[in-house]
Amino acid sequence: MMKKARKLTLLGLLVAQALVLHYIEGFIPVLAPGAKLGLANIITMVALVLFGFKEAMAIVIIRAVLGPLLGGSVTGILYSLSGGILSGIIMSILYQNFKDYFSFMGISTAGAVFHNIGQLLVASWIFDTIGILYTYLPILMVAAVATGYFNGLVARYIVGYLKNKVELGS
Amino acid sequence: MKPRIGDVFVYIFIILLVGLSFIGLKSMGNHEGKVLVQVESDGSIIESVEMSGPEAEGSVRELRIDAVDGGYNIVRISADGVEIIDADCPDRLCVYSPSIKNPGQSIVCIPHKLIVRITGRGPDKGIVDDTAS
Repeated sequence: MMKKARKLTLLGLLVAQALVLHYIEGFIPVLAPGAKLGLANIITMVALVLFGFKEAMAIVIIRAVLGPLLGGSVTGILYSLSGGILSGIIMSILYQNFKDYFSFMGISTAGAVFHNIGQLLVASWIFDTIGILYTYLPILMVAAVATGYFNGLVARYIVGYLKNKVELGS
Repeated sequence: MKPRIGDVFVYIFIILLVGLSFIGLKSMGNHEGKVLVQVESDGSIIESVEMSGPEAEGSVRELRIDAVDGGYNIVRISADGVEIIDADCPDRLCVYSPSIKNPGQSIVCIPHKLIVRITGRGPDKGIVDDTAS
């Protein structure tokens, strides 16, 4: 069992990293409106592997609430929460039950896909039209393949490094 | 580093989603581009015929409209437009009216209290900023 203070510190660090990634990716131009690199997803993956479902979801929720407050609008919370929670749940299911069948890149891509789906569902609900879903889904899916692969790769290297360097216990 | 079996499922799922959204986009486009021919007799709509869409493509329909005073108008609806080809009204102005094609246009037969109008949004043409014909 990892010491409580140690675990809390690590989780706090991960939240801070997720927030910074969330913030700086706002400055990186992307090809399509709505498409994002989803760098914070790297942290979600790392937390999921090193700690577990509960801790990963806690990080996702804290990041989703605080992230838009750093540099965005308050309605952004709704989008990032819906996307983050849905993708977090999907990635947890895939990682915890089907770890042997998926690579990190596959899980991360699935997470990116469901992040987009969650956001688009909320957008359709807010704008009261399902058309948003149809219009944006194809381009966001293509973006998700690229960013999901990259994020999965990064998460794999981070986990590989941290697993040896950080004494996690449990 | 090579993709595992689950990853393949993820990619198949993505391709399915993209395909589905294209299908959804297409069906929604048809719905928005629906153009109706409405026939109004004495203030109430008695006929409503779809002008675009798969089943309306290339077909020519002729509707015989019985007017309130016992007369008749024959409306021809085809892909080229809508016109009144025959009527027994005294002035026959409706028959001489040019055929209509775009949403917002109408043909009126005053003696029979009949209005034939096209409603809805065209697939590529708006109601305004169009050449008058």
